[in-house]
Amino acid sequence: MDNYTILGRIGEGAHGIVLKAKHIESGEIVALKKIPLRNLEDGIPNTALREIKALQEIEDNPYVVTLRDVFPHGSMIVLVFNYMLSDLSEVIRNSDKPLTEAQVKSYMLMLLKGVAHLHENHIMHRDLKPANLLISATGHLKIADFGLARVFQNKGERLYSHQVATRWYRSPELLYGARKYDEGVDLWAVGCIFGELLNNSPLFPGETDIEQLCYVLRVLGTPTEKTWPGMTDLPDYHKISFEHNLAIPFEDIVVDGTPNALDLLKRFLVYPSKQRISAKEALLHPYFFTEPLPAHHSELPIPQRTRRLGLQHKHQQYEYNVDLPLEDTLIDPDLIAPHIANYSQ
Amino acid sequence: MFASSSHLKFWTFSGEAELQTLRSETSQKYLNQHAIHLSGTALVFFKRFYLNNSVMDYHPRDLMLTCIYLSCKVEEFYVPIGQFVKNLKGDREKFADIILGFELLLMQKVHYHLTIHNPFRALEGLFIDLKTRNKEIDAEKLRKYGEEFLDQSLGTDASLIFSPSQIALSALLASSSKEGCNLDSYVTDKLLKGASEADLQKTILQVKRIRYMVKNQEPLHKQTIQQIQKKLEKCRNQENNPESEV
Repeated sequence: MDNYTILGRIGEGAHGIVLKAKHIESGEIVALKKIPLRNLEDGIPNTALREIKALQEIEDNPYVVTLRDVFPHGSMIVLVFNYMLSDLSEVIRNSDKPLTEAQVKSYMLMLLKGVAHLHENHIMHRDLKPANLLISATGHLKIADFGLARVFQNKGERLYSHQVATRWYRSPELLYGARKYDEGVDLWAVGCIFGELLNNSPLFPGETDIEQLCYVLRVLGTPTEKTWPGMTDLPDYHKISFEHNLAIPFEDIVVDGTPNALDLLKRFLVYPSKQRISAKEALLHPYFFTEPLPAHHSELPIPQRTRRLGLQHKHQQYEYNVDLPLEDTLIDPDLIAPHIANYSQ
Repeated sequence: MFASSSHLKFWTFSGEAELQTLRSETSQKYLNQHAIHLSGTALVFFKRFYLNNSVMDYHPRDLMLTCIYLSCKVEEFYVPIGQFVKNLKGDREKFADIILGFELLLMQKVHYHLTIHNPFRALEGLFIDLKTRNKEIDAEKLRKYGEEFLDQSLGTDASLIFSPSQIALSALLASSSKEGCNLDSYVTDKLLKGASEADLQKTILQVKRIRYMVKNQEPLHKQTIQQIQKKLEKCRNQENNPESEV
């Protein structure tokens, strides 16, 4: 901890607080994620362990956050990341006008490159959502928060928890309680994020798990054994039944979407997980190669963190604002004159 | 009617022996999925830890328990600490304190490198390959001794010197020579097809080294262990002894 000066508080996650700090040696600004050890119970929390395990193993990728360091601090474990200005949920929330098509393409391109990298390394993230996609000061998108990430094996033997992923981005098989699933859960989430970028509002904003399924079913139509083989075997399939309804064309849901955008969106949002387009394949979709081309990262919005709390103010005196008029940053000589003995000479 | 019932058809067995087999099969299936990886991962942590730390500083008994506990978490086979220490004899609360006290240190000393590539997975891959590309050999026949070989290899430094695939290949070849089936042509013509002569020779050399290493492990004698233990009690660093007054 001696290597860092705390500059403020960024936020509070489910697993601990995140602080903004300066690495004294390099002068670089970093984010410190402090995870308390519930020593009396079970030691290092699984979420922290998974995050470290996943991030230590994958090679550096420009679209995945870099774990710079890990160190113990008292009864805490501290993960050090490069500092990020914002996240995609803030970009969506704070943009007065909808993102341009070129900007959406650019975000999707970065997201898919990151996801492709994870999947190539056999890691499923399991909690992709705009709030976990951080935006750097240069406008780059980086996937973060690997607290739920797991290394997956293609043998299909392991059972996983279905209580993963934030509800709006949770795939239908998870909603039906599937315990065996694959990286398709991430691809569903990518589809939801894509839809949200196009529409500027979430695609399936369910308030409860049941309502979440309703939203999905209303758009995709009630699944049948034909459109979703194996569906009836899912654990919670028989717990609930829905009235039969037909699919609504995506054209009616995402009204401003171009045919290419809609085609790609449809390939993510299908019931059978194996039929969802892989991240690698999606990167070759015509959507990314037709005008308008993906925006350069300098053309992307970079909103400031809006949540500024407590500690921040203490340290503000150290910060300079280069936009202020020069005279405002100077000290009136007369004010300090009495305190300086030799001033008058 | 009972005669045509599911009770008779599915749930009535020939005797205790059949039940026993069924039960052990069930638990074996479960153990195969998890336990093998656990011991492998735990031992790798253990070996990595003592590369840069002395047994006089940290007692191996404390670290052994911590390694197993951490590997349970890492391999996603989570056992709450209370349940974990239930399997130990002695003062369980003390063990729990020791394990949780050393967990963070262990992670730090292995530089938070938590992903361990076990040779068991590599061996499984070789079996699959054999089954698809070399059907004339009964791959399952090679499983028993192959896995035994890997178990034995955990006691050596193999994991610190060789790649998991090399260790797995050695296990496969050791098993095949034991079972009296020749895999030479499979290895040279299929598995390592396209490899240069130099690479081939290198692989063969590595396999020889591993097999020699595993075969020639010095067996540990109880007497020697007791002697070392006694010695350790005298010269261990009391600052890191959770029971010490220092």
